[in-house]
This record gives sequence, structure tokens and C-alpha cells, in this order.
Amino acid sequence: MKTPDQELQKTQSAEDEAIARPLARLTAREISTEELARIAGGWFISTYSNNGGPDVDWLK
Amino acid sequence: MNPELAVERVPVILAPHDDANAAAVCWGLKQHGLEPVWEPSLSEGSIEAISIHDDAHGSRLDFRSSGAPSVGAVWHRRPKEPEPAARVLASDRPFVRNEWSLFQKSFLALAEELTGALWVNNPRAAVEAENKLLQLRAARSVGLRVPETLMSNDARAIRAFIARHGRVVHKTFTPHMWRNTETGQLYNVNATLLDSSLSFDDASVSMCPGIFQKYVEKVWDLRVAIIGDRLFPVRLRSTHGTAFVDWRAYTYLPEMAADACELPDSCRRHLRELMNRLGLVFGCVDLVVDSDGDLHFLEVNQGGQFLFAEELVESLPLLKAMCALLAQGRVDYSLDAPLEISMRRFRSSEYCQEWMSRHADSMKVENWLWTGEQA
Repeated sequence: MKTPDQELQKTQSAEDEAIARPLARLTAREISTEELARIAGGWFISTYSNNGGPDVDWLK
Repeated sequence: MNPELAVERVPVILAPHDDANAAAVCWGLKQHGLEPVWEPSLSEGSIEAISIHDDAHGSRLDFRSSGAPSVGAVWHRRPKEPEPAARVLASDRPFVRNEWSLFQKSFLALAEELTGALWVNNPRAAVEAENKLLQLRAARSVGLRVPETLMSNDARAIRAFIARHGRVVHKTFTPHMWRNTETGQLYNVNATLLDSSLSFDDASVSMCPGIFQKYVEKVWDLRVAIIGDRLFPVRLRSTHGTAFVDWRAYTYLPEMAADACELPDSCRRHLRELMNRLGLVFGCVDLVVDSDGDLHFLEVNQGGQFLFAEELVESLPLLKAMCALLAQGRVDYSLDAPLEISMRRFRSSEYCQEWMSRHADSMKVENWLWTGEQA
């Protein structure tokens, strides 16, 4: 399992990609199923937010 | 019925039945001797028929329910789009679903007026408070210190912003996770620190706007759950005494230190003014504290997670407070009732065990709904 990086996170140059991708997805952190379950602590649910749009309830 | 209760009207929870927060609050309300109505939307469960009359005298609500509840407070937690009844033909379902959706939106637009209940939160205020830019403006207007912020998809403007501030946090407008369908790898988007040494392609930022905010050299984070008139601040930092760039990734890890703390009176006053300005009675505010002790506002999540904070700091009566707010239907609720309502008791209750077994499938990470499935 990777440890969350406290330091500056490296951005992957979009030039390496055949197609440019959003910066947020390029800098996203890999996360294991176990880590996700631990962080979520049973609170996560993928559903609709109360503004009526699709949302994830991810420790907002 | 507990004598502390000012009203004997039934609390309503609008949330999916597999929502853990709703389960905890439903359990807590039962400890009050109440039987809350807990439905995902207006079209489901005990609510049989709803009418909204509109004439020269205003709008009026009638509804028939198997329990015929008089609605007290409503926790507008996470209502789903209404689902057509099972008897509706498959070919009719898209049309019926859309009609229900717009009917529910009409109802929610005047929810407080139509029901006379306390809404947590008022749906119209909730929608507006989800707007990050309006939040920042409201925070500044009440006197809170807010880091300089750029919302942009202009690479030149973003580079200039980073050059001006040195270190900048890049955030998204909404939480985001996805799974690579080929490898099964999960990804989570956190707040990311950027500086001028990092290179990014113009196309990466021009295709998708983001939030760029001057990084506050913070010593710790504050998560403040505001429940009615009460504020419950929690200090979050690493056990080494340093701040996390984004504490969410460390929740429930042993290296996260969390403890209850006090807010300066001026900050309490500003936060109350902010809630009033946004029309909210519940919200989770993220603040950071710099080395001079100054507080900086980051955001308020009107539908934010808060019960995890009680599990980190057991002395905080967050579940009890939310249940008291909904049971009493007023923001100046009392916490004097001798009821043992806590996350620890909820987690060990038969109610929780039974609820978890009923929703075991949706609790599994593997079964969550994932967005952005492509690599």
C-alpha cells in the first residue's frame, strides 16, 4: 500500500500521454481497496447529493 | 415522549436506506422515543400521495401517509431522485421518473414554507451553499480571512498565480475517485500542492477548470461541525505535530492526531454570521491555522461528513446534537436530556448490526458505484 505523500506530488506530464488528461486525474493518488475502506470507515456511499446531482460522499 | 421535546412532531430523514449517517441518526432519534420517517425520496415508502395547492393566498401542502405523521424537522441529508412505483410499465418509467423529479424539485424549492418544519438544511440554501465561489465571498463578507483563490482553466493565469504565491493548492469542485477497469486500480483525488518547479501541460488545465488557492503555511487544520447554534471544533494534525496537506487521506490512521479545541470568540461570531448569510443550520467548516495563530477559511460543506469526528474524539456529542436538533426542531436545542446517544453506543447496538447486515453488499468497496471508469 502506498503511503500518502506529504511532499509535493509529482505531476505526470501530459506529453507522456497519447491524449492529454485533466490535471486532477494526473495527480490522483493510487489507493488500495483496504485503504479506501479504512479511510471511509463505513461512511461512504455513492449516491445523489442533496443538490440533485450525482455525487460521492467522500468526507466532504 | 421525552419531556425535553418542544414538539411531538415526527422527524423526517431524506436519504438512501444504506446511508450510514442516516442510520446513526435514525437510531439516535429512536432513543428519544421517536419513530422517524426515513425515505430516499418523496415517491417511496410511507408517503402515499402529495398535493401542492397554489392560489392567490400562497402555496399549501397536503400529503397522505400510512403513518400520517405531522412533520417536525427534516434532515435533507441526501435525497435521491424519486423512483417510479413498481407497477409503472417499463416504457413509461423514463417519463414518470422525470415528472417525479421535477415535482420533487418544486416541493423542495418551497420546502420550509410548505411544511412549516425546520429543514436541515433548507434545500434552496443548500444548493447555493454548494457553490464554492459564493462560499468564499460570503466568508470574506463576514470578516473571515480567506486565502487568495483562482478558479480557472487558463494555463497562463494559473502559472502566474503559482509564480506570485510560491506554493498553491490545487483542488477540485467535487470529490473524485475512480477505478481503472483494466487493472482494477483505485485512484483518489486529493488536494495537491503545486509550485513553479512542477510542469504541467496547458491542455491538462484548459480541458478542465480547477480551484487554485494560495497555500497557507499551516500548523494544523480545524474541522468545525456546526449543528444549529452549537459549534464543535476539532483540531487535526499529524502525531509528529505537523499539518497534513490534505487530512482526509489520513482519517482513522494512527498518525492522525485529533482533539477537541476552542475557537476564538471572533471566529465563532464570524462562523455564525457565515451560516446566517448562507441560510444554513448545519455545516462542516474547514479552517486552517497558521504559525501566527491566525485562522483561514477554506470551505463549508453543508452536507458534510461529521460523525467520523466523534469517532476520532469521543467526547464530542455530535450524534446527540444532531438528534436533539431534529427531535426538538429548533436550532437552540437542549442537550440536557439524560440519553446515552453516541457513536460508540450506535456501533455496538443491535440496530446497527441489523442495518449493516441488511446493507452488507452496498458497504463493500467493490460494490460502490464508480465514476470515470476508463483508464
